Amino acid sequence: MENVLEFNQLYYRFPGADKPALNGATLTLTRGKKIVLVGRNGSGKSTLLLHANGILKPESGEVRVLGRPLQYSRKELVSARQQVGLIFQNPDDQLFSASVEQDISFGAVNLGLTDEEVRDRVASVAAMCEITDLLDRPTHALSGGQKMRVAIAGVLTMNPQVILADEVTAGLDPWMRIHVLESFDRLVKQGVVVLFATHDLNIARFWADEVAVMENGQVTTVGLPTQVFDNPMWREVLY
Amino acid sequence: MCNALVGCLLMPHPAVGFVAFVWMAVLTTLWARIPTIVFMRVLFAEVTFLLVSVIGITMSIQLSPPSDALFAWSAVGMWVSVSAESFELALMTFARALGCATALNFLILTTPLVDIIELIRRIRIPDVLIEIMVLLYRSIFVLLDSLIRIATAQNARLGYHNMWSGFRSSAMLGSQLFLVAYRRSQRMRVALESRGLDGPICVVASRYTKDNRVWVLNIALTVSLCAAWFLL
Repeated sequence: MENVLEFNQLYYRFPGADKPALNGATLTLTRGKKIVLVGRNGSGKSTLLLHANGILKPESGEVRVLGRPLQYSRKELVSARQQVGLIFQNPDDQLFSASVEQDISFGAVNLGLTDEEVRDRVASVAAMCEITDLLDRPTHALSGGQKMRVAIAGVLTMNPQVILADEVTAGLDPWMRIHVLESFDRLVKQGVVVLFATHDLNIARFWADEVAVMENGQVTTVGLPTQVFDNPMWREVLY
Repeated sequence: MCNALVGCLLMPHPAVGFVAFVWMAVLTTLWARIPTIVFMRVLFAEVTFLLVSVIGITMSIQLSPPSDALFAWSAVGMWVSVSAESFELALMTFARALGCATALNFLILTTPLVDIIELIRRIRIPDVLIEIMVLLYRSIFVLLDSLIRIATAQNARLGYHNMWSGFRSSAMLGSQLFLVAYRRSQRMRVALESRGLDGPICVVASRYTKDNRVWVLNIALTVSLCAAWFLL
């Protein structure tokens, strides 16, 4: 299995913080897998995701994207951000444009594609996320679930190899949650790696191919959902 | 819309303003099918403000009796008068502002901001101004949402049960909103960077279809404004 994204011994401390947010975090994502990252609040899940495409730079350790060490020059970051897409918990933090079509097109335009290519991508991604009928709508007029689908579509137009989703099903109704997970299933079938940070242990147990547990800035275990949830030690950490 | 606005500004005659007003009222309510009640409500606020301003232009107050007044009243040793010149000036200001206001109302009530942004992008307004406009527009709704949530939470804990608690709660709401705006701006920056932001914010341009009726209406509007200017 090809290693698509690797975090090796990452150490990061937020300015002014006493404890490091990441304290030797190591995790490898392989192609075609759905990995769920679980852990308590403050365990370092979101911080780890922000290292994946160079939003944060580790004080020590290394991030490798498609086998290459992540460089923090402007050009390399653009390339890394094309490969690794980040979706955030609150879509309102991600949607900035007045119309859905323009918001979705943003990432594709940044890749330097031609106008026609951008429009083609927007149309295909909108069809995939079932938001074609929303393209002309203003972003502020969407429901929470619709906003989340638009946020996902905005990342997918960049055609990433890895999708990192940070608590994206929080606050969604069960139907919309299933819809989001089905969207991720389709992506995984196309070879995209999905890493999903969540507090929803049902998603970890029943949807994931692998579960990674984070605790105090470290990835303390990675394994099959049954292995993790049936182990009394990890059950104690998770519940 | 643009020619009504420019016409009102360049042709200083009350008739031009009133003709522009009639045109814009008809276009807004009949062509764009904006409900008349909505149009009237918006207009009411503007006309009220305009009338108050125009009264100041019309009337003059002096201690001695006016020599060339159309109307004059004496009260507590002072003279309040309306001269022919000030009346004409007030009428022209009123008509001109009314024409411009209805032209702007037409734009506001019929054109989504996306289209306005696209227009200013096409007329080569600097990117930085467009970006500020886009982000501000989006932030209005996000912050309004936060404002409503915070105010509801304060209300649920008797935050506005009397005047003083209302003042205190409003002050806290204001400071909290500032923090919310700052945090959201940080998170949005991260989100934009992770989607490849590397310079100005660029998005795909909207596509429009041409409608020849717009040209016909524009020509008719311009001709009628010029006719009002020359003939009246």
